[in-house]
Amino acid sequence: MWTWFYKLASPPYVYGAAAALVPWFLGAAALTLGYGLIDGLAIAPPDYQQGDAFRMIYVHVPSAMLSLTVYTVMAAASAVALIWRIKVGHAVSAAAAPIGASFTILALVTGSLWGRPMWGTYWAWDPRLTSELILLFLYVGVMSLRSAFEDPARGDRAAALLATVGVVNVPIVHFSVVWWNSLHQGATIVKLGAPSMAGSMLWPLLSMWLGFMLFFAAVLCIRLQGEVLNRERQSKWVREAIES
Amino acid sequence: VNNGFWSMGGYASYVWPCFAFACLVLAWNLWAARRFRAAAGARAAPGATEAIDLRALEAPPSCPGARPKPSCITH
Repeated sequence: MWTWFYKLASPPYVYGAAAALVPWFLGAAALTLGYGLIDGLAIAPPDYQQGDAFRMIYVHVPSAMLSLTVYTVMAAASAVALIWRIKVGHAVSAAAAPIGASFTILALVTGSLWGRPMWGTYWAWDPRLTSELILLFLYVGVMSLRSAFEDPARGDRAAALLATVGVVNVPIVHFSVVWWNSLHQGATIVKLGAPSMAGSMLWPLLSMWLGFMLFFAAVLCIRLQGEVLNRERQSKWVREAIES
Repeated sequence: VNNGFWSMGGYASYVWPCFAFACLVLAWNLWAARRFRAAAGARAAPGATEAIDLRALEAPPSCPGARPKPSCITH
């Protein structure tokens, strides 16, 4: 029953699986992002309050959701690496960090662009915006800590500890609009009850979200291959894989 | 496609930069990840030697250890 779990701890298996999955993830991401873009930009009706400015939701919400998802993946991989001493966990964590940081920046920038016409300002020290900014600092901290040690194993452990502890910020970001007074609107999709959006606007959003997730999976697999190669380059199987 | 599409109801200066930046981030992610994998592959290739190993080889014999301090390197 646990065979699949043990296989995930094997660098050669992970390297091969990642290489095989990349084209599938990229192809599926291209399809879903293409549909989401066409439907979201050209077919979905304008919002009755925000007009066409609401279309920024098709980039902002998927990137914000992905910033939280990637951090959760990174923290889970770090916890697995710390608890079971599985080296591939550190590789997944290291591969996920720059992707998560870039999508957090995307969420902050697109939110800022959306905030200007709706709130009259690019930035406010609002609980949602501030906690998302802290998430970016956590990503940067994890990446910096990993490279701050001369001994890579110590860097991995320190970064994994910070990533695991920092996961406490994920629910804070999500529930910040519930716990505190906020300029930011409440949850639209991930909440108890049905999504508060018309189907014609919701489908392209779900498609864009799925596209972003698939794109993340593809890029994670590519980076993971690089991380495994870096960490296992003295191994015989790496030399054989490079030569073949 | 009419002008209404490109003007985005007067919000074009916000909507299009938003999508353009998203495209930039997606493209950067793919490019950087492929570059990272290629660099790792080059380092793992037979015959590849790391810079730090070369410096260690050139260090004077008085420097103890396999990885000398920078002050021990004479070049």
